Amino acid sequence: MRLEVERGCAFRRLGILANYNSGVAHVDLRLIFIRSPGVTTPRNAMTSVIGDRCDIGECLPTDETVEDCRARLSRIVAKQKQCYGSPRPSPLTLGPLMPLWLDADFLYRINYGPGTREDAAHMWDSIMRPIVLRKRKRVQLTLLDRRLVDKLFHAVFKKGSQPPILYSDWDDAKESQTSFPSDQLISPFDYRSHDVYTALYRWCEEFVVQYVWRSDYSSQIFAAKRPPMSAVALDIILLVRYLARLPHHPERSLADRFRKFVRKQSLHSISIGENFDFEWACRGYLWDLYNIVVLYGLTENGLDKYSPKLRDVQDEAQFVRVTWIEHAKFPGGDTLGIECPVDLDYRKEIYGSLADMKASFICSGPFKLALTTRLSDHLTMKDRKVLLYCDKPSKTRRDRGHIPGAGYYGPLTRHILGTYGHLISLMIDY
Amino acid sequence: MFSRDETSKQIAKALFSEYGLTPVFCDSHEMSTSQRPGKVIILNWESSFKEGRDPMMNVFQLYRGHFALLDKQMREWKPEKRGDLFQPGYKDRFTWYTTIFALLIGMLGIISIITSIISAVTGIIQMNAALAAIPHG
Repeated sequence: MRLEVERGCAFRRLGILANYNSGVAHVDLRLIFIRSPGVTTPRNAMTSVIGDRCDIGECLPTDETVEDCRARLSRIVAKQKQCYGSPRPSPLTLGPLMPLWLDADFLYRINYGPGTREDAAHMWDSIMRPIVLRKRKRVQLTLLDRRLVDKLFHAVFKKGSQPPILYSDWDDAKESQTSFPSDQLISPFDYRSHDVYTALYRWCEEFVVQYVWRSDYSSQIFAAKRPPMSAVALDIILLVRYLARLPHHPERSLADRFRKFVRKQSLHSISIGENFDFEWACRGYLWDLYNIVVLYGLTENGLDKYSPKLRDVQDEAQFVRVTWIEHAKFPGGDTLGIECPVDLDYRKEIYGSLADMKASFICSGPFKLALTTRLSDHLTMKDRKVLLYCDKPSKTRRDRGHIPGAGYYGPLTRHILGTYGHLISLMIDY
Repeated sequence: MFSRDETSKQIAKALFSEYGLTPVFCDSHEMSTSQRPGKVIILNWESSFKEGRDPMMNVFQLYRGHFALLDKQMREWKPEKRGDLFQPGYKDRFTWYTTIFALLIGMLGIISIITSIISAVTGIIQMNAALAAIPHG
């Protein structure tokens, strides 16, 4: 079965690139980049779920002892079980259930290791397989240690951002004022699934379970044992801090940024030996981490089948995909899929009036307007339609009107990389 | 794009209805009070550009390249199919209207030639019939 590569995205502009010499600015064809977001997680594709699991290595807690960490996780699990009630599944119970397999020791093993391949397989079978294969809803239970979740949140979002309820410990005496269950959460350690901020650490968790622990995920990069969740979360924190420290100018390719990051930083999840393949690490694993950092989504660029060494580039779509980070500039809109169709150096020289750029004038001619939910398609042309980005209104957000783009831009305006204008600081203005 | 004339506003209504949204056009200071469920908030043009000045590409830091490309595509559009011949382009619409007018005149001319031929033929037939009806004596 074939994996569905987003060919439409990769090729949508090929038809309009030929002999392009702008009247307002010189445009060099070689410098027009086509956004290829990599291979996104195909939720219904069997190809992405086949694969043996590996043993889990160890990454000890950084700011507490192992004993303290285990004790804290025990308190968390005890509280969770108390909130969820009986752990035994009952056919008469319609509400969510506490998985029988979840205990403090298991939680510690998947977070900090060492764990067995059975643990990894168990996580996959219990958490991700129902979502990927049967399109079930994600369980609300948090598996990534909430202390790491807290660190991850504060590393990625600006100070002052209100985190979702983030308890990383439970003290019955101290927390007795808080009443659970609430209308949204069953226990204080659950995800608020509709909250956009949860995507960051939910993806981190799912990325590890679904990909990193697979034997065919970047097998040349990782050792026989795969990193536990904490190692990946800590590396995401390192990556976002590194990117936030970078100067705004000059813009450099993402691949260049990643290479320097891997060489400068001591990563928790990978050990760099003599024959370490930096190129493949950047194109695969780090790119996947980056897509989580910028809240793009789960991607599987690090699977062995996309490794340029293991398989030759077969077609143009694949070539565009595997070389994208060599062209995409950071900081800049490229990295979010808002790639500029003209060279960035010439963009500043573009001037002109937009007096005719109104809906009535556009629709009076051969082109029409259409909405898209893909940010990368905003203000592009497809089948004679000018696409405008508009995220679909949330069904759960009842308290306010819909601001186009707010679903995507909202969290990004508080993103730590946004402080430098690395990402974006604008709304979609129609 | 949507707030500058009434037709554009109607287009916005039709477009956002796909997502079950109704556009609300407001100034930036009214945004907070205009937010209602099922509404999509679109800023009025005047609130972003002083005294209703024309928007310029350089205002859009990230999207000016997109606008430039769109503008170029609009200007350089040419008919590709037969149906496109009757579709006005974006550039130099006077030429398109002139062409359509000339086509109409041409069609009228062709119609008048055809009707002239028909009237001539019927005239000849009538004349022949009249001649045939005259008794030979």
